[in-house]
Amino acid sequence: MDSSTPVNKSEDYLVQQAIKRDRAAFTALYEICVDQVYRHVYYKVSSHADAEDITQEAFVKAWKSIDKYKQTGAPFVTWVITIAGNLVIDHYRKQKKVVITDEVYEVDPNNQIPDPAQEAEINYSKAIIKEAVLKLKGDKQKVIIMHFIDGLTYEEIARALNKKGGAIRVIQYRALNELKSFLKRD
Amino acid sequence: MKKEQILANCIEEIRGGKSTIEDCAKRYPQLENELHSLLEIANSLQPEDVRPSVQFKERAKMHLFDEDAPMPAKVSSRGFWAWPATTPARVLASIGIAIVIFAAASGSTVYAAQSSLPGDTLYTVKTGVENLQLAMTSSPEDKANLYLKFEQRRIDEVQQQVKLNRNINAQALVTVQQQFDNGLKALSSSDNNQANNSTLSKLSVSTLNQQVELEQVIASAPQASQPALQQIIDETRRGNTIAQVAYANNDFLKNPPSVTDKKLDAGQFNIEGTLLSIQGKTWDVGGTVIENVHLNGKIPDVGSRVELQGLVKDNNTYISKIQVSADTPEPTKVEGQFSGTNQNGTANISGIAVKINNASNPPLNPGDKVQLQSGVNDGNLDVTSRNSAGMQSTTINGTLTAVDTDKGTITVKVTGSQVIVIVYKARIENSSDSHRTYQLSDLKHYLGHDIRVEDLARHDNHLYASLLKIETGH
Repeated sequence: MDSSTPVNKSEDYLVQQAIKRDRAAFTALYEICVDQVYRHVYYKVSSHADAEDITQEAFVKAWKSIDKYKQTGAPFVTWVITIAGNLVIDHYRKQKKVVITDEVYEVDPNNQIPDPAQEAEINYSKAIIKEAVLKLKGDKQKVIIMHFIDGLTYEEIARALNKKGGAIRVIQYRALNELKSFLKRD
Repeated sequence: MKKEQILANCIEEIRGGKSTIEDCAKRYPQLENELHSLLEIANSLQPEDVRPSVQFKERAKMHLFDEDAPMPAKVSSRGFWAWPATTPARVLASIGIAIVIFAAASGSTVYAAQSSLPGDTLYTVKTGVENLQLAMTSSPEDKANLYLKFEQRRIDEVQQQVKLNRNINAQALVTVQQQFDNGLKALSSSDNNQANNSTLSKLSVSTLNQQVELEQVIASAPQASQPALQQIIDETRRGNTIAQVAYANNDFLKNPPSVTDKKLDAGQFNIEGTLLSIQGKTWDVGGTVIENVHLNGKIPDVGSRVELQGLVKDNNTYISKIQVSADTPEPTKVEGQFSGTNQNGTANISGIAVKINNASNPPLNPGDKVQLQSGVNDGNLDVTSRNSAGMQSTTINGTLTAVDTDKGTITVKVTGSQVIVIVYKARIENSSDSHRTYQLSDLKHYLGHDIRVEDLARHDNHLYASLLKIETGH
C-alpha cells in the first residue's frame, strides 16, 4: 500500500478485498463510514432509534450486495449512503408520515449551552430549514444533503450520482432556489 | 461565468472562511440580490453534530455478516406516539419535545436566520420562531418579557439596516410599536407586581440605551430613513417614561398605555410646595390643584412640604416620585409642558391647571417647556424659565449611589436598576447654579442626592456622559 495517499489507496484496497468476501476488510470499511452514514440518516429521520435501525440495515445490505459494487471514483461511503437513502424512503412509506420521537439524549459537556432558550430557538430555526430540505425531491435533495450535510465535494457527488460536476452545480442552484421559495412561503 | 458556477465558488469561499456573504455577493453586482439570498440559505445548511453511540456501533458490527439477519428489533415502544397526531396533548408535546431534541442536538453554529434582517429570505423563519415561542408561553409576565426581548431585537435590526445603508420604512416602526404595546398589554394583565417591576426596571434601562444608540445612528442614516428613525426614538422615549411611571405606580398599567400616545410627552410634571389640603383624590399643593392622584405608599401629612414628580394622563395624576420635608417659606414651583389655556383662563401645564400672572409674563406657545414659581402677592405663578418645543435629548434622572474616581464612573439608581456611566470627561454642575462646577471626587459628598445625566453616548456597550447636574437642594 502506498503510504503517501493512505486514505484512497487503502479504501480502494479494502473495497477490492471486501468484494472478494473478506469480512475483515468490510469491517474496516464499516469503521470508516459508519459515523457519516449515521449522520446522513439521522438528518433525514430525526430519531436516534430509527437512525440506528436504518444504518445497521444499510451495512447489512451493503455486505450482501458487495459483489455488485462498481468503483466509480466516488468514496465507498456514497454507495452505502445511497442504500441508506433508499431505506429511509421505505421507512417513510411504512410509516406514511413523519414521527417525532420522545427521546432526549445527553448534551456534550464540552459544548455547554450558554442560554438554553436562545439555543432552543436557534435549533428550531434549523429544524424549519431541515423540513424545507426534506421537501426537496430527487437529486435536488440528494445534492444538498451530500454537499452540505455529508461534506462531499461536487466531484464526489458527481461520481456517486453518475453525472458531470457542472450538472451538480446546476442542481444545487435550482435546489437552493426551491428552498428559498419554501422558506418564503412558510 | 455561469451563475451556478459563481454560486458554487462563493459557497466554497465562504465555507473556507475566505469570504463573507456580503463580500462575495457584491463582487457580482448584477446577481447581488439573488446571490445574497441563496448564500444565506446555503450558510444555514449545517451538518448536525451527532454520532452513533459506541454501544450501537459495536452491536451493529457484530451483526454485519448475519446473512439472513432479521430486521433489528425496534428500540422502544411508542405508545404515546400511537395516539392520533391531532390529539391536543400530542400536538403540544410534539412542539415542546422537538425543541428539546434540537436543543440537545445543537452545535455552536449560529444560524443565518437569527441574524437575518427584514427583507432577507430567512427573516420569516426568524419571526415564525418568535411567534411560536409566544404561542408556547402562557404566563403574562413571561409573555411580556418575550415581547420586550423581541422589541429590542427589532431595534437592533433597525441599527443593522442603517449600517448596511438600507432604508428604514414605516413597517419597522409598526413592528417596534407592536412589540412594545403587546408587552405592556401583557404586563397590564398580570397581578404579579414583583415580576412586573422587575420587567419594568429592565425596560427602563433598555429603552434608555436604545434612545442613546438610536440618537447616534440617526446622524448617519439616509435622509429618507430619518423620519421613521425619529419616531422610533420617540417611541423608546415614551417606553422609558411608561416604565418609570408604572414602576412607581402599578395603577398606570390598568389602562394599557401605548408608546404611540403623544400625550405621554406632554404630561410629565414636577411640582413643589406646601400640601395645603387633601380631599379624596384631589390635592392642593401651594394653591395648584392636582386631581385623581394615584400614589403608591404613604399619603403625606397636610402642612408638609412636598416635591412631586409624575405624569398626568386621561385626567389621572400618577405620582412617580415624592419627597416630603418640613414646611418652609419657599415659593411653590411647577415644571411641565404648556399645551394651551383652559376655559377658566388657567394655563394647562402637563394637564394641571395653573394660575399664571398673565400681565407680567410673555405669551406661551403650545409645546413650550416651562418652569414657574409663585409670586408674592396673589398666589399666581410667574414663568422663570421657558424653552420652546424642540428635539428632546435623552437624559437620566436618578439617585447618585456610587462614585469611582479611579475608573471615572458614577452609578445612578433609576427605576430599581443601577446604571453605570463613564463620566471622567464630564462637566459637573449644580442644577440650580450652572456657574458652580465640581470635581468628580466632590460627588462623593452627594451620594443619595438626585442627579441629572446629560449629553449621553454609547460605545462598546458603555454609557458615557459629558454633563452632570447635581441636585444640592436637599
